[in-house]
Amino acid sequence: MTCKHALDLVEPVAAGDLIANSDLRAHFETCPRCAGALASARRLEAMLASREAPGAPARFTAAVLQRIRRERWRSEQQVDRLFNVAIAVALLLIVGGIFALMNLSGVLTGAADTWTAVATLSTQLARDAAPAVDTYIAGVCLLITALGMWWWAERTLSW
Amino acid sequence: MVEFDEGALIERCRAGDDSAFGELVDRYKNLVYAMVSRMVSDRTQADDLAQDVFLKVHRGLPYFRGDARLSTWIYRIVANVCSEARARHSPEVPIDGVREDRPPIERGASDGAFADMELRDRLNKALAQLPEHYRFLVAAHYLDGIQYEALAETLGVPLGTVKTHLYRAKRRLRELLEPT
Repeated sequence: MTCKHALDLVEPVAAGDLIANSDLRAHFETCPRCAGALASARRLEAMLASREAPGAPARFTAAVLQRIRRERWRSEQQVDRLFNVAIAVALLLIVGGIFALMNLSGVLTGAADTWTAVATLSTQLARDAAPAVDTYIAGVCLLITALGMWWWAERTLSW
Repeated sequence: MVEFDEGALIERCRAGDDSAFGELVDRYKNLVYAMVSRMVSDRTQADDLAQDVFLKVHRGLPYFRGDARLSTWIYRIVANVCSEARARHSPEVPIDGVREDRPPIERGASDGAFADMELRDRLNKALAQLPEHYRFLVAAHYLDGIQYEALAETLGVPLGTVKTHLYRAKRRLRELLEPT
């Protein structure tokens, strides 16, 4: 039994995976270096076996389930957004298609005068409303703020 | 004593039963938390990573084929999550190559009751120097219920390989802990 052989078996013996035969036991008894290595390995085994194994904190399960629900909500929001985009694109295609049909069939040509009349009316309305434009801007800002707060509240409540 | 019906619990989880998944978390949370805590030093990070493990379990349950035990599959996820976290925060160490350039941990002054704490600190620092693969084996092996066979199944390697790697890991730890 050489030191090299004995040292190779130190870890298995210290772990209890190998029972030292008589030759190995005799070597450990007579070789201080190998005996020291075995003692050190046994001390390490004891240290590793007694290492702290902390348990999960009290609200761990609740925290995990909350993250899962949040992830599920985000996934549903993503699907909703994609659906809304798809609907908007479909509507645009429909409106564009109707517009193209009307153009091809000559309906729009006849409606040119109507568009001119609408444009003239819009210009007149804008001139009339110009003095009070600050009020309109404030109104729009208030509306956007209210919509934003509603959206934020809906999002927060969903958790 | 009622045996735990793993298959039934998995089916309930797949059906979207959140209370069933809560039961699964309750069953494995302490083991997962202990494994993760032994792999990372920061308690807050351990908390986040342990939660990440169960999020991955939840996402992967529909695809879990059942050819391995649920516990084995969860241990595999723990190993992957800790490995990814370590890769994000520190440079890689090759699986079979220990960091030979690092010197043994120096001993500080020891004084009775302080000696234990110092020894634990030195052990933790030595463990941090091991390659990820070895750290996982050492972290998992000394927890209740995780024997060589479970580790071999988790890592998909022969039983002999698990034992050899553990012996190498412990030999390296001894070298790092030897007094200078």
